[in-house]
Amino acid sequence: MRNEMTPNALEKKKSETTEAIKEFGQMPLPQESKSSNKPKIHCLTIIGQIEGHIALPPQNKTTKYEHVIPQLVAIRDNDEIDGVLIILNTVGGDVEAGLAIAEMIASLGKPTVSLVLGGGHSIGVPLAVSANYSFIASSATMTIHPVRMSGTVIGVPQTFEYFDKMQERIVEFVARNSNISQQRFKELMLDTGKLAKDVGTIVIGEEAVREKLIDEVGGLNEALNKLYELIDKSKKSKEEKK
Amino acid sequence: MIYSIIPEEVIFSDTQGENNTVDEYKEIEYKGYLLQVSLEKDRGYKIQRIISTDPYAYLNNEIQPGNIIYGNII
Repeated sequence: MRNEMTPNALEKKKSETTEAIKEFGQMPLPQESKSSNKPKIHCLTIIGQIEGHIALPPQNKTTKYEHVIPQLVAIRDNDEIDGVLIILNTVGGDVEAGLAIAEMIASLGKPTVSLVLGGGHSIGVPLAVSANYSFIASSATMTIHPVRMSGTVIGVPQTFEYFDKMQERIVEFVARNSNISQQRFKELMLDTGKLAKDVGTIVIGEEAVREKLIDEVGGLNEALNKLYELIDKSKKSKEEKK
Repeated sequence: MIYSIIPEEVIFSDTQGENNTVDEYKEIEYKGYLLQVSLEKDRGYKIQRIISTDPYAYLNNEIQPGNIIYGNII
């Protein structure tokens, strides 16, 4: 069924460029030669919902763990890749998937820099702090709130304990990978005076740095420069070992 | 377990019954790249998203989102 090439394929190709501009507002991109000897980096974009054990309905934009996890393994295994830039614009998602990806980034063994643009909410927080160094755009926000209960809830203390444990995993990971204390992070998570309809806190750009959650306010240029600096350092320390 | 600022009823809302049908996407491998595509009426695949961490994949004109690919795929 898919074997035939349409006879007017050439004509179509021409119209494709116009279509790209029309439909996606995109122009053909400039190409760069790969000859330069600057470090080779890869970029992991984590957008929309983090999709884990449950496939989400198609109206959700998702980042799937079955895509991200093998990519991280490939990055770790490929000697040509020197570092990874992680770009975050996520509304949260599956706890297990988010923590799995965050743990993989934290234990990658290659320089990693994360950049929060737009939003890095809920499970996006552990993902943002999992990198060696983290940046947040001054307009970006992070919402820290408790894990919510939904579905069948049995009114027994065990249910509460289960949710508390899930929350504890997140708090512990964030405290381990950033400079915020477990206690302070929990305070932000359970604050009642900040959000209109919910318990929790929204931190914007500079505030995230002040809370020691994120290392620095910055954009793409700062993040890339930091990544090159970390790559340079790790290369030097490797050479010294030899 | 979902930990998100989007309420669960919005994430799992059923849009099938309404008129705003959402395109079903498919993942295919094309020339070594994993692409998310939607099926076009004339049997081509329209590229929706590139699934790659290689920044150079996004500079490849052939697989720009919006392009329609034909021929023997898979």
